[in-house]
Amino acid sequence: MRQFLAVLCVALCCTTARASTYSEFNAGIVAQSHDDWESAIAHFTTALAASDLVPAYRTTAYVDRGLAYQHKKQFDLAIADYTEALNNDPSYLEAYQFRAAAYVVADKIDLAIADITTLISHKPFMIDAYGARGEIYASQHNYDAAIADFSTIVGMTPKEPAGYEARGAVYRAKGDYDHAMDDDDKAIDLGAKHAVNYFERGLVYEAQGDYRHAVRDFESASDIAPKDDNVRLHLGLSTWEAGRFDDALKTFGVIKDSAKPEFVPYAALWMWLSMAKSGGDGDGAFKAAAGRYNGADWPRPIVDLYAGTGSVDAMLKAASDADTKKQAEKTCEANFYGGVWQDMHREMAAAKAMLSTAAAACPTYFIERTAAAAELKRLR
Amino acid sequence: MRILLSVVLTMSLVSAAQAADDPSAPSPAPTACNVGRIASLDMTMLPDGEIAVPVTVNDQEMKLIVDTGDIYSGIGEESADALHLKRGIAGQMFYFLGNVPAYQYVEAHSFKLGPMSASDLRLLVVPSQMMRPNVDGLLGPNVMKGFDVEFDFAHGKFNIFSQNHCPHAVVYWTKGNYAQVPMHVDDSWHISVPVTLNGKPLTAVIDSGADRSTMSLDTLKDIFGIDEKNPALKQTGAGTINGTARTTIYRYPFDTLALEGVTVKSPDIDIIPAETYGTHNPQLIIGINVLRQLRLYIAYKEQMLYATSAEAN
Repeated sequence: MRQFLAVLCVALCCTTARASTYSEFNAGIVAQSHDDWESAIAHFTTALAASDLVPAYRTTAYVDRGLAYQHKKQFDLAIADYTEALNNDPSYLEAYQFRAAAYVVADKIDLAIADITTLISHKPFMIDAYGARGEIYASQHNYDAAIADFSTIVGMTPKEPAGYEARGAVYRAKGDYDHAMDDDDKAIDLGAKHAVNYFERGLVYEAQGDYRHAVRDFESASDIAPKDDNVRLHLGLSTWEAGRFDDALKTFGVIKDSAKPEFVPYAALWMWLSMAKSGGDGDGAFKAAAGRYNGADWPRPIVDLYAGTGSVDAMLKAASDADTKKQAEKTCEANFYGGVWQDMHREMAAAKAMLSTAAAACPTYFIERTAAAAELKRLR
Repeated sequence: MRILLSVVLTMSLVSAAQAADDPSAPSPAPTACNVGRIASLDMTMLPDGEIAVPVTVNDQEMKLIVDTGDIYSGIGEESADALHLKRGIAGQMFYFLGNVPAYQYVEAHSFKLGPMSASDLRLLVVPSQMMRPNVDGLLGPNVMKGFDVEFDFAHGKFNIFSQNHCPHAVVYWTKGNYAQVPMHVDDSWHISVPVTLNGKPLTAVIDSGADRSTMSLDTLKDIFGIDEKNPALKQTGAGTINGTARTTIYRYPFDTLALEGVTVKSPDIDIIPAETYGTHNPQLIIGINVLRQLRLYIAYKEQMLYATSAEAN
């Protein structure tokens, strides 16, 4: 952009011997628009060091330099710049929005919520702000607060599906399936025929043990988003839960061949479970599928168990973790896959005990929770 | 990227330009051919370089993006709700660039811009996805067309002048050279000017509400014979226009954009597919990313655009 100014100087006979403060500021915005963060930071830093930068532009320069730092994952510097911007002009509300996003990444959740709350106090009808705060609350499992924010959105835009979509997902995570179903139905009725809507409602059906309807919704979601691994995983899972093991095997076979690496061991495990349940060679199928997986960390102990090189005890021991959330998640998986393994080996008491633990203690957002409930139902 | 396309006749907005006839609005007479400044408003610059100015709507201070590419001034849905303004249905659908529809209006009992005021001004309700927290709406040419307006980016000022001045005697900030470009103001009060891009003549619209300068892929093919197979045309990724329309964006290394003696080297122009750009749009939209390099004086009545470099003095 400074090239442009140089041409103007020729054309219009103006004189600028060196880059002025304004042109530095402007060059920063140009660099930013080209995602040239280093250059943007340099130009804004020069402009901010000058005493003749227009006061209103000083605020913008801090905000934009903050954005550049944020893109470079220098979150503390970004937060410092947003704070300077707000010191300079407390009415530059976008700085609250950006700072909140930086606080979330920096895991300063309370400060992020405080910033969005301030934003809402200035803009009480700003739907996006309620949405952002609701998402943060939901990620912290503060479901009631999230539901309150999404309910505000529903109240402001009752004919739009977005509020129902978001609130339905939180109701489901909370385990309030009736309200979740109402919201998912409403979102679909309002015309939001997106994969996520069918997927969400499928999860609710699945959690309620209505596997037939769950399969139908996951199939609808899969038709809309055929390459979504998560949708396919749940389609396979719900068909397995419905006792349609041959269909489940086909779905997991597709996932195994095309999924992201993190899905591969689970696709292999579920292929084994489907094959074994339908009377096929589970071991052979599993070994072939698991061959693609060479990770050493979790869920390696589960893979080892099914490959015949591990044990239930070793798997349960490996599930312990200093992080209590991770420990709960690993223990959930250990109990489910261990319970099914015990069932396959006719250790019915151990199988029921482990599956009961999984069905009760698995986080609501884990597929093994509903799968354990389905398996227990079958055992009874 | 807010250029508003539809010319709407059935929805009549009361122009705040009429406020110039209001006794409360000063309308200084020119002396010795000096321009008469009515207001000098502080600009707020948004992160992507668009500018907003303060107004008062129903006694509430707000900031509106100055948008020469709009038609009617507008207010964001959330700001309209905050003022408890009752929405009416406009007589016709409006479409912002990216086919973003708007079809509602509200009526502001009072609207103040600097020392000028208007009453019962209708404002188009702008979809919320086009608004950002810092701003409440758009200041469109239905208001600006009653005045001359000046963008003094280097000093952060948006100046408003009386149209009562001697012909072509408006460039008061420099004794140096300046560009004087005849402009066409259409029924929607959009400003078109002749430009040349890589030596090819085009008609461009001046759109201060667009953060980027834009043209369609079809124009690139029709006028320059360049299509997606040309290796110099690079896809730079995907973007969102007016908060809604997802689009593929291309860039082509143009050498020059010339506007009556003012030449821009390597102009930064987004090229987007025709289905997103719209078939009735101008050949080129000159957005704020280019305009910010200039000091611009728009004489609506005189139908003339004056320009110098942003820091000419």
